[in-house]
This record gives sequence, C-alpha cells and structure tokens, in this order.
Amino acid sequence: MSSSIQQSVHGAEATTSLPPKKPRDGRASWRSGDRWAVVVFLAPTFLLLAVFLLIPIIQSFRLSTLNWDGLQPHPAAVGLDNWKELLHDPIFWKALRNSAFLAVVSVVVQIPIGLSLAILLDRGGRRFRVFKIGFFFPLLMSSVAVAILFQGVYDNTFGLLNTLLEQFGMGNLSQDWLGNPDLALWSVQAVVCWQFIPFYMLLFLAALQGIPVELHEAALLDGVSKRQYTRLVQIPMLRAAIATAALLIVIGSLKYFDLIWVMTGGGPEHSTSVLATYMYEQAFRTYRVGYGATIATALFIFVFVVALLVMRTTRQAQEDR
Amino acid sequence: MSRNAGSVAERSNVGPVAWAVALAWLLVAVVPFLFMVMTSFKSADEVVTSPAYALPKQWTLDNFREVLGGSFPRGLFNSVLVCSVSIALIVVVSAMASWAFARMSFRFASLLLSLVVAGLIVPVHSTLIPIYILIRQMGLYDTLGALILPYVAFALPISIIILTGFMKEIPRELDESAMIDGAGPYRTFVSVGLPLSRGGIVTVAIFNAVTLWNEFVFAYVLTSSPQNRTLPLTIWDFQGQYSSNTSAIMAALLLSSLPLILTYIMFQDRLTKGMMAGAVKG
Repeated sequence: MSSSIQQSVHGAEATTSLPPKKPRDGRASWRSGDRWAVVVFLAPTFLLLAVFLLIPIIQSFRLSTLNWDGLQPHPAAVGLDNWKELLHDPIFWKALRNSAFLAVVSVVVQIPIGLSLAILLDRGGRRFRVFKIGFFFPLLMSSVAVAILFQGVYDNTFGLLNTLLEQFGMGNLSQDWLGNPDLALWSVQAVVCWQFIPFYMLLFLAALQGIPVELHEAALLDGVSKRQYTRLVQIPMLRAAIATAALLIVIGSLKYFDLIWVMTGGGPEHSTSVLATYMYEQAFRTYRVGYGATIATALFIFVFVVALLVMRTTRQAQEDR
Repeated sequence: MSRNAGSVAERSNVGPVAWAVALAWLLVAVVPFLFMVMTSFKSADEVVTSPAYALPKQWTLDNFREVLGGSFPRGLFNSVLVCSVSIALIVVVSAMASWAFARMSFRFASLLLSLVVAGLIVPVHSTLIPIYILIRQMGLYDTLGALILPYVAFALPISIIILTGFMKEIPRELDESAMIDGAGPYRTFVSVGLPLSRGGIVTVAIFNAVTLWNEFVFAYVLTSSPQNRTLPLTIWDFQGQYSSNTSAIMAALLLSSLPLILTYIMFQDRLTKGMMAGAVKG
C-alpha cells in the first residue's frame, strides 16, 4: 500500500519535470493552494481513529494494572498482578487454544471447500447460477440470527439435526450438540464453516474469473484436461487469493465473539470460550474490569503479532519469487 | 472483462460428479434456512407435536403477528436510522481522507496511510471497555448516538483503503482542469472528486450497510433498553422472552433477515461486489 503511494508521488514529480505544455500537475497546484486543506481533509479521520481506536488500546493497558469493579472511584493499582494471574489462568489458555483450534480447522476446512465450490461454479457457468444463489444464503443472515437458528437446529429434543437422525434410523448418533463439553466446540466450528465458506467461495470465484481467458484457450489447444488446467493453471494463479483468505480466517478466528456468545455463552464449562467471550464475561458479568482489560490487551497483542508475522512471511514470499 | 474464463467454461460440460457435489452443498447451505421458514409458519403446539423436518400441517401467520406486535418494528426503525446516519458520516469522512491520500502530496503521507491500514487489525473487543467508559462519561449510554461514533471510527480504515484505491484511478486531468479554472481544493473535491468517485462510494456504502446492519458487540454493550436496541439485539432479547416458543423466534429471525434477502434478490451483483470489498489486502 505504502509503496504505491510513493510511486504516485514519484509519478507526480516526473510529470513536473516535463516541459510546461501541461503546466500544472496535482502536486504543484496543491502546494500553491491551501496547505490547510490537507489538515481539514484528514482531521476528522485521525480524530475518530485516535479517540475510538488508539486511545482505548492504551487505556485498556492502563486499566489492566488496576483492580477495579467498574464503580469504585479510586481503584487500587496492582501493577502487573493481573498479568501474572492471566499467565496462570487455565481458562485463558483454554480460550486461546479454542481460538487456535477455530483458526486451524477453519483454514483446513473452509479454504479447500470454498475453493472447490468456486471451481465448480466457474465451470458450471450460467447453468449453475441457481447454485450460486443458494450457496450465498448463509451470508445474508447476521451472526446473531445464525446463532439462534442453529440453537434450533442443535436442540436436544425438538432440534432439526436429532429428529432427522432418528428419522433415518441413526437415533443412536443423536447428541446434545451444544451441551456436551467434549462436542460443543466442534458444533460451533461447524456453524462457523457454514456461515463463512460462501464468503471464501466468492473470493476465490472472483479471482478465478480474473484469470485471462487466453490462458484457458492456450491450455485447450495444448490438449490439457480440465483437471490438469485446475491444478496447473487455476490454483497457482489463485495463490494470492488463498493467502488473503488464510490471513482473514486466522485474524477473524481470534476475533470471534457474536456467534459464540449468543449460541453458547462460551460454555458449557468454558469449552467454547474464546478470548473475546472470556474478556466480556470478566469485565461485564463478574465486574472484574481490570482483569477483563488484561484479556482485551492480550487479545490485541495476539492479533497484532499474528498480523505482523503474516505480513512478513508474505513479503518474504514475494521477494523470494 | 467481457472475455474471462467463465465464458469459456460455459462451453465445457459439467460432469455428474459436479452436479452431485453442487446439490449436496446446496442442501447444506439451504436446509437450515428452510427449517427456519417452515418453523416460522407452524403454531407453537405443532413445533412440539410434529417433527422439526415436517412441513407445517396448518400454515399460520400468528408468529409474524406476534413479532410485529412487539419491539420488532422499533428495532427495525432503529437499525435503519443508525445505519443511514453512520453510512452518511462514513462516506463523508472517508471520502475526504481518501481524496487527500489519492491527490494531495504532503509530508508523512505514506506513514499516515500506514496508520490507517494498521487500524484494520484493531479488534473491536480490545477497545470495548474504554469505549464503554467513554460513552458513559459523554452521557450517551443507552442512546442510538452512542453507536454512531464507534461505528464510523471502525469503518474508516477499510473505507479509506477502498476509496483511495478508487480515487487514484480517476484521471488527474479532470481535477487539474478544475483547478486551472480557479477552483480551490474544497471546490475541486466537491465538484470533481465526489461525483467521479460515485462507484467507490456505492461500494463503501454497501459494505458498511451489511456490516452495520448485523453489528452486535457495540449495540450489546452500549445500549440496554428495548426502545434503543437495534435489530440483532431485538431478536436476541426476543429469544430471551420467548425461549420456549421456537416458532415465534424463527419468525423473528426470518423477518430480520428479509431486508438483506430482498436486497440480494434485487441487486445481486452489486451487493456481492460490495460485500467482497472488505477482502482487499492491507
């Protein structure tokens, strides 16, 4: 992003050095014009970003050094006690493991299925239009609606899943899908996949349709089969889209909240807790605001580190090529 | 763009395996949805007496009457109001910043743009406690106004990235000639920049409309009374009240999803494009 800005700045300089036939490029005129315009144009953005993004992050860290119930006017400063507690808090580690589980399973399940469906829709063309519309439906519901809907699907006695299993003579497979701590995270994971696979499918479909048609024609002339075309041309051309999808999934997994909070509240026995639900529970349910802020800050650090790591590896991959 | 791989693929035939896989996934995607629709037309008794996969024996509109007679219309109104005001502000603020990034040259431009990009990764939840405290101090707690400022702030990074990219594609000659005609930076922005960025602005508006229509966390934390809830919270509160009445809950879910479904049916490609705009690389 930043490099393209620099490019355009250099581009502007290049045009200035041209003979004065096209006398004023943007740069020169803006400079002679109102310098304050830049300030005016950028001020609202940076004011809002500072007040609602930057300062709250710093505040969160500051709150993490307090023992505060949210009401006391003069909360006690406890230094890094909250952080020490966090490191020894089994639920925190469980929430982190759950986030990692969601991230890994989502990458492993959503990307291949999303990619296969995209290739399918691409090959099917207009005849598969009805499928495209159907596949899209999960994206049209809010996470809250999806969560409540799947509570109905998973319901122990009246739920769709268990009644269907009984109908097909597989009643012994029926489960308390969200009530069993060993199973609940898998049940949540299934809903996450249901909700987000269409998104990645569309991402891949857009990338597939950006592949120049000449490549396909050339491949046809060379007698390449459909399968070979997919393996040798389409998937390599989609590498950037796949990397984007993986990044979005991993960062998204660390930020899950709505779906899980509404569907399970992080339970049973914290088996579906993630960092955001545990933070909410501590800060807004048990009123341990300082400890909640500690979890919130830890969440920020994780997301930040993951984003930096991913950016570094993708940059390296680009340089290696 | 008219000649892409898709148009060639239409000539190639699709095998039975492809049809089978497509049908299988269609079932996965649509069956929970059909369950919702069917259940919403059942009476409360029928939900308990007949299996979940059965069609309603007697189709009834009672559930919809129940939902529409409660807090649902208020939630709908609130959602429309908060979304429209927020989107208007998002468009104005992000267009101004994007115009500066796309067209003006100033010191630290690339540093400032990197800061905006960094805003993309800030998790809402890490800011929740301080924003809650701030909103209480501002006296905005449990008002619709409490939602608008955080909505706008968190929408800015992605909106600015989309719009800056779009504005850079506008030929420079157009605003140059405006300036030669003596228009200042503000005039140029309003009379050249904004009209020519219409496509990008529509994309930004759609993307944020979908995101904010479904927004949950801020609405959950910053409002509390039923008359100030937005739709996602209205349906969740509704579930809390009617926990045993599955059919009424499903009717509420269906009604809350209807606006997006109708929009999708009418403007399929536009909506898809807008929703995918969030997947740009930072």
